[in-house]
Amino acid sequence: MPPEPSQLIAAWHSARDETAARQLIDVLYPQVIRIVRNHLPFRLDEEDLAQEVFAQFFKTLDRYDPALPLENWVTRLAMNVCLKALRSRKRRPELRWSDLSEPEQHALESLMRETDESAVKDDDVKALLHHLLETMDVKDRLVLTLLHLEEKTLKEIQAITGWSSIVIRMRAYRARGKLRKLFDDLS
Amino acid sequence: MKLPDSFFDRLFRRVRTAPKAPLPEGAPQGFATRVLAQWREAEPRDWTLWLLPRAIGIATACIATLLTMDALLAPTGEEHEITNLMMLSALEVQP
Repeated sequence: MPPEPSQLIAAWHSARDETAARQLIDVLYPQVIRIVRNHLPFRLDEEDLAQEVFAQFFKTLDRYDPALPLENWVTRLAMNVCLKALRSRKRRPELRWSDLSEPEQHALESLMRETDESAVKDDDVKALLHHLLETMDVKDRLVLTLLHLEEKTLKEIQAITGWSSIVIRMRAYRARGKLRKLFDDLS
Repeated sequence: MKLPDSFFDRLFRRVRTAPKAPLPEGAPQGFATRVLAQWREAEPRDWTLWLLPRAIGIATACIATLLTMDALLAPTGEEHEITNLMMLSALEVQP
């Protein structure tokens, strides 16, 4: 029977057991990659970012309180690493029609006209959304991603971000307003 | 460019429901090794263990240099005698 994460963490704490560390990485990798994929800055390698998450994990593992769910702690850590990566990128808070590739333009027109969306490729729609999110402030991007892509509840978002539900709602409302303005100004 | 109200709902829904690459069951080959190497690199060194041998080595080198210089610059037997004679002469001259 494979050891529990708590046992692996205890082995790491007591003796810096690298075998335990490797098993821990293996167990947590799917969760970390799922979060990284959802919040990955465009064209950044997911494995590089996941590696950064785990490096932070072992660096700060001494601060982990075993009474709290490990999954929540890992989620928060991974989110912080992703947000840091997003903040370090230069943000262009505006969007021009010429910034979009031809497939992205086609996807946008198709979604706007509510025409047959099956003619538009998923990858083009994803690229379009990434382009839009990249113009946004990191916190606005985060709240939209958690609410509308991951369909997290307010309570779940609170647990991840530490924001109050009022702050989350206000931020989401303002973020959607900014997205709408982005399109209104699109030329 | 005016958007229909449903635009963002459809945009997010389309991305949300698009088929996703399956999540891996575990870390890829070599990943854990890279993580642990990165962690070791970032770990603060035990400065006592790092500094002490180096400090001893530097101190030893300094002492050896001083002793060598002392030996090279120390007066020879003849020079010592001449110095003594000069001092005695100086003392005799004293009123």
